[in-house]
This record gives sequence, structure tokens and C-alpha cells, in this order.
Amino acid sequence: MPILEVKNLNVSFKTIDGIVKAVNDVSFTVEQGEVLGIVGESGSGKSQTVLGIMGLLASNSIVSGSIKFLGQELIGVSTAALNKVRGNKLSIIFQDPMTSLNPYLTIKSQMTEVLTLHKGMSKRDALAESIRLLDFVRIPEAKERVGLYPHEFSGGMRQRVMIAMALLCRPELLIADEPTTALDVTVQAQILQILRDLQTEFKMSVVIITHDMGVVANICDRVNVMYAGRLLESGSIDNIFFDAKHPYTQALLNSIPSLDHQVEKLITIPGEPPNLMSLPQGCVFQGRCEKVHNDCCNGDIMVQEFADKRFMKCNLALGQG
Amino acid sequence: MEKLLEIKDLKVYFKLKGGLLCRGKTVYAVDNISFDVYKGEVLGIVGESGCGKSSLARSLVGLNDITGGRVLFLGKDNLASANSSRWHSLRKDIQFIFQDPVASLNPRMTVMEIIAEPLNVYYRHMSKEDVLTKVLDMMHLVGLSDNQINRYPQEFSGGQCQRIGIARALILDPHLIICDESVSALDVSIKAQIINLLKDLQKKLSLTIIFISHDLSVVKYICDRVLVMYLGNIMELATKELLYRMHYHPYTQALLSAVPVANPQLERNKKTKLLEGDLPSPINPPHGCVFSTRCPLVESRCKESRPMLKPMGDGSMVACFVVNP
Repeated sequence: MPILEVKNLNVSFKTIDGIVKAVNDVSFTVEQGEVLGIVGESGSGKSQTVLGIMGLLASNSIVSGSIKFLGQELIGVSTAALNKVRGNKLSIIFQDPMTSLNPYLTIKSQMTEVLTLHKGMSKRDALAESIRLLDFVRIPEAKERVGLYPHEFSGGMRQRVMIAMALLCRPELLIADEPTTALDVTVQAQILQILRDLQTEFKMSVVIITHDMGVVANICDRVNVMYAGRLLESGSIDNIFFDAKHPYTQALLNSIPSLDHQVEKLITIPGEPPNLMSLPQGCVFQGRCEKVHNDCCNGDIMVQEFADKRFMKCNLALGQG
Repeated sequence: MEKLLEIKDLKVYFKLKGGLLCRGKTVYAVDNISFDVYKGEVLGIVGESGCGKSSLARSLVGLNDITGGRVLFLGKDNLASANSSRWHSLRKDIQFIFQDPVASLNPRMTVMEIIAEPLNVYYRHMSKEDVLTKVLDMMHLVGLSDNQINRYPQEFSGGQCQRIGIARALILDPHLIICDESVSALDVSIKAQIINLLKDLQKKLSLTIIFISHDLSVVKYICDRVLVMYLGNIMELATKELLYRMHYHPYTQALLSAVPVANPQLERNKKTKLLEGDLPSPINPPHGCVFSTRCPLVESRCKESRPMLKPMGDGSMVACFVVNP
């Protein structure tokens, strides 16, 4: 049984200007011990999808669909019930470690609180466990540093503290929302290494959100490609990187300058993503797709399924591409 | 090749003001660096945050004061001793494209006013028709259409705003363009459009560009030569081909191996040279080689004195005692 099962998830926001459809009919699963990447550009709905899973959406949001975590439905349950799961079996780390840590509290008090609350541990045990995890994410002199405030750490260190904090209760699923975007490349490499080690050590599942295809290739097993609120293609990283079927995935991969090969000119995607308040009928990528035809502009878009839980949403018959 | 900029022992220091604890301390943002910029080339400057790449760039347009050293522009003007009226005329020849495309445009000005402003400052007597023609030419050049001329920045996306920023920078026909992380804030598909635009314009107008970025793949794509900075010092300076093939300096090696490549097969077989620890504070940089605290090849002499840039024989310049030709 999958750890997480998202089915027909819709997230929209009521604003003064109208309804913003941030996530549209998104379905996917996360298996035990799997690292799933969600990639997409800004506004593709990748963050709103996971905020929906965590029950952290803004108050003007309208959510429908189903999110089952370890068999338990998360949509529509009370905050109290959510709080039993969040931070316990289900954890999240955010992009900006400075704004997600409380600047007024020491790392010690922020970390031990999690354990005393969820696990009922004594302060002393909680502190010992916190130090153990700080050691694990390679914070030097963790014993001494645990008493410091967030501003006394560098950006990379803070992100490690966040990871340690998210792992305190041994979650079954860790969600990482752009965990390395704010960091320098050499620090990013350290954090990715730590995430990989943790994943093997604790055998947990990880959902990692990123816009960096390099990060996906580095750490993920499978990847979901999102665009304008839709999940357009999903598959193993080898399938996606070496045999992308959806025109958007193909175009996205072509438009990245890469270190491993030199191209004369980048192949770009013309135009810009559609406005989420007035999405076109039919496929959301139609305005920029070079293989667009009449079927793309109205009605439902076909979901084509393949082996290994691979699928894409596109009317293009294979072989036509 | 003709030298556009000759930079010799450039220093940019910032004196800290404020609290008791900070008083009298100095941030050594750029410390004694020397290099030349040739006419018509794209020079990339890469490094991580805090390495001084932006301080360096800003000092070349007078947005930061130059603490010491000499910067010769076209062989004569020393930017280090330029006063404000000299800077005024120099900025006509040195233009800047900023990182945040939206924040760098005045929200109360139309596209026309934004792009024409440099002309209004430097060519006050230019007729309205001439200004309009030049602005429209420039808009076409960067891929904007005529009917967008009276719109305001908030009506444009990030990518479009960066096109406006590029048009504003190019309208004076500057000798040198400095791009400070000009594509970093853009999404992948839009980034590719702007990178291609910059590359096309560079060829078409034979522009000289200093391209500052933390993204080594973008630099590889767009630059001719690359300068690697760490904590205010140059670590390596080489042509793109050599830098990405040889990467002599241990920091360059670590930096390049840390970049995740969008290819799962390569990533699986890759051995990343992880650096330990964090960047030291530029307030109190290491005494010897600035990289010595994290360098895998560190020797005792590295902690005593600072290595100078030395030629490796193939055209690369490397600041390291341990690495030899």
C-alpha cells in the first residue's frame, strides 16, 4: 500500500479578482522508501499541492479531492487530528530556514518541544535525542551549539537544523519544499548528501519539490512534472530524462543549459505560462506547444498510462511525437 | 585584443558602523584582485554568495566606493579616482542589468519613459521623434512589440521586465555591460529565452559583457572566459573550454562537482567532492590562502601566505601553491 495517495486534488483560491485555480485534478502516489520529485516553474502548483497535503493552505482556499496518508483521509479533518499527524509521521522542511525557525527561541527549545509534545518524552531525553539528530546532519559540536539561536548559524547550518527537527519523530514521509534553492551549490551538495543518507538510514519516503532538474536527477527515484496546476507527466527519472513523452517535459529539458554538454543555442519554449485565473479549455500547455492540434483546445485531455506507474496527460498519440 | 578594462590590485572594503562590537571592523569584500577585460568578450564571474562578485561589479559602476587599486577604462580613465561628475559621464559607457527585473524598474514610469530615460539624461537636445525611433528600435531588438510602449512594469511578467531592463541598458550604446545575476530570478523556460537574447545581442552588437552568476551551467553557455572568486579573491581565471575541462584549482573542482547535472546516469556515477564547513567570514578572512580552511589539499605554507595568480602554461591562471603546471 502506498504511504500517500493523492486523488483528484483540486486547490483554488478566492481572490478579489476571481478564482485562481492553483491545482487541478492532480493524482499521484508515494510508495514506502521512495523519493518523489515534483518539478515545475513558478505558479505550476507544486508548492500548493504539498501545502494541501500538510493542511497548510491559506484561509481563502477551496480544496476538493482526496489525500490519504497511511490510509487516513487528510482532507476535511479537524486541525487537532491533523496536528497528531503533522510533525509526527508527516514532516515538512521549507525553502527558507531563517523564516521557518523562531528567532526568539534557542534551537534547543524548538527541537525539544516537538518531542515532549508528540512523544511525551522528558526534557532530558528530548535534549539527548535532539543532539543525536544534530550530529547526524553533521552539525559540528552539536552539544554546545544546541543552545544557540537561529541567527548564530549560517544558511546551510540552519537548513540542517530544520532537517534534524523534521526528523525528530521519525516521520514516514518527509516533504521538502525547495530545500536547497536558497543555498549555494557546495552547500546544496552537502544537504543533498545528508538527505540521501537519511533516506537510506531511516527508510522513509521523501517528496522533494524543486525547479532544478539537476536536483531531481541527483536524488529522486520518480518525478512528477507540473505545469499551470496540472500534473502533465509522471515516471521514473530514467524514463523522464531519457525518454520524455510529454511535449512540455521535452521542451523543459531542452531549455536547460547543462554542464555535461555544450549546445550552440538553447531551445526555448515560446511565450509564457497561462494565467491561472483564466485557464484555456483543454490542455494548459496548448498555447506554447509545438505539437498542438485541434483536439488540444477543447474537452478532456487523455491520460495515457504505461508500465511502471508512468503516465502523461496529452492527446498526442504516441508515435506522432 | 584591445583591453577595455585593466583592473590592478582592486580592493573594495566596507567599514562596519553601528554597535560597539562591530565598530572598527572591516569587511574585505574584494581583496587585491587583478584582471583585464577585453573588447568584445563575455567574461563570467562565478562564486558563491559572499565571494565579492557583486561588490566587484558594483564598484565598476560607482555604486560602491573603490578602496584601493587601479581600474583603467579604455587605457586612461582611472575609475578608482573618479569623482561624481566623472562617474556621470562614465556611466554612459558602462551599463548595468540587475538581478530583480521588476524591482529595478520604476513602477510609475511607462516602458517608453524607462527606456528613454538614459537618452533624456545624456542627450538632452535629442528631438522627441528621434527618441521615439530609438526606443522603438530598441524594443524590437529585445523582442517587445510597439503596442507595449505605454504600459507600466506591473503589466509585464518577469521575463518581459528583464527585456525592458536590457533595452534600457543598451540604448546608450555602452562599451561595457555588467549583468549581475540577470537571469537568476527567472523561471527555466523564461531564463532560456533571456539567455538566448543576451547571446544574440552580444554577437550582433559585439558587446563586451561582464556576466556575474552563481550558475555554472549558464556561465558555461554564455561566457568566453571565466573568473572564479572565493572570499574576495580570484581562485582561477581561464577560458571557458579550459576551465570546464581542466579546473585546476581545488575550489573550482569542488564547485563544479557540486553542481547537479540534469542526467540521472551521470549523477549516479558522480563522485561529488564535498567541501566541509562553511564560507569563513569576510570580516576575518583566513591569514593565508582564503580557501585553506576548507581545502582538501591544504599544506602548512597555505596558511602562512596568500598564493598569487600564476600561469599554468596553457593560458589558465590559478592561485594555488599546491597545484603546479
